[in-house]
Amino acid sequence: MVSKRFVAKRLLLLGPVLFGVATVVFAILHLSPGDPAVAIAGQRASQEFIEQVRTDLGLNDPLWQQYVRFLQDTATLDFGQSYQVRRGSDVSDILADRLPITIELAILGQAAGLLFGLPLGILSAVKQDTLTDHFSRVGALAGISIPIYWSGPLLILLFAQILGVLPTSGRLGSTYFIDSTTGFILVDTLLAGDMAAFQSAARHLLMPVVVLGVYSMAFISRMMRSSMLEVVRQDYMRTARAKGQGAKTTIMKHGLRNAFIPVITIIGIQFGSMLGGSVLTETVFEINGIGTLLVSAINQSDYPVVQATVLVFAFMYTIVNLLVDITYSILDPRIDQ
Amino acid sequence: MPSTDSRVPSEPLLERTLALVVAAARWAAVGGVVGVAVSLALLTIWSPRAATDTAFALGALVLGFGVTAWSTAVGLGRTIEGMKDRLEVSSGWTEAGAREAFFVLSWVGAGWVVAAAASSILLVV
Repeated sequence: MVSKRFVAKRLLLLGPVLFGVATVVFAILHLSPGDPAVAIAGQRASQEFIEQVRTDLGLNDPLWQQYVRFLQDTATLDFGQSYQVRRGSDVSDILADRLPITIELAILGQAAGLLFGLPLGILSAVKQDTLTDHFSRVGALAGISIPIYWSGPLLILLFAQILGVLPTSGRLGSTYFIDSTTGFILVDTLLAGDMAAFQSAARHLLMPVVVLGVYSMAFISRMMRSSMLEVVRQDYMRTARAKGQGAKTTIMKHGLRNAFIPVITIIGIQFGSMLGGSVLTETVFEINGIGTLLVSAINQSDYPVVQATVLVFAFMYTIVNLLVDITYSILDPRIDQ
Repeated sequence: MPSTDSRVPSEPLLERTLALVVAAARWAAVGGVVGVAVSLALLTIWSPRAATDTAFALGALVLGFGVTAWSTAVGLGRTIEGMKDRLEVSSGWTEAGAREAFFVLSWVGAGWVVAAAASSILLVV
């Protein structure tokens, strides 16, 4: 059982994290070149019109006043309206449309990483210094080292251009029309009962998920191997074996739970990389998630969208870490004492 | 400077809180001086409005970075320490050290933004 004090302490940290991230984003946007008033009015607009836009947006106020106003709005979850990306729309509506797409991608990527990374790490530890171990370690090193902007186009070249078995971009074939119920394309196609559309969505998601999953898998397998090796050397493992328990049973019954403790804490940090990776993955595979939203908002100096998107990233990252911490404290109750 | 590590049980809570407040005030004052200095320095190249805005943005950057890194060190410090040990890439980075460093940075940033805002009021408004 997790103590309320532990959860409350973790929840309290959410405030400083979001405040800090909001402040950094605000500062960076105002230090970077580019004038949102010019972006909105257009390069050929008259100086009077640009000035009018600037006044309307409050950009003529001193920066500290804009900062105070921004913090007040953010505290009440009022992210304002988009300047450019979807001009005049509420930023929260835009985020609500795009967020499920990125979450679906991150969840599938993390699931793929766990599904393959955990067994690979265990196998690598159990068969230490064998050919299997060497292959697994080299594979993990390659997986961590290969950047998404390289592996993505490589997969597109191989599976879409050369072999022609997978689509290059998007989330669904152009012949399918599915109403967005949850925003998660796999769930929506299933809810619509359209299996052909489901297959199309799955084929579209395969490459992006592999790209995200490989990095996650490499990291998890490396951690799992290291953790497992430590656990198998513990006295209780030797005792269990000495009592006549088989190697497999000892590992599954005693080793796995303990070896999993440090790995689960890493998953939270991993999720952060996953979100960062989603920006690149969505760009490479032309998926309209929150990652591509961020890129276009930065390109168009759409301050409210950039600020809200980064805050949402930070919020998700912190919440996932909170969940991971709670899981950790369930597996090892000593942590919250 | 007193340790910001809550697990250090050596001092009573009141004394520890007081020491932290004094340390925070000292670093905020340092930040205040930096904020005024940067605002004045930028005045030599830009208009008062641009100079104080830029000084404020720089201070906000320091404040935001300090607060984010401090809260990350508090929340994930032990995980990061453990991860570095396991991956055998430990570089001597510790949670307590990081907390103290970012405590200083946060309060310097806080003093800086307040001073830059005050400079803006004096020079622009």
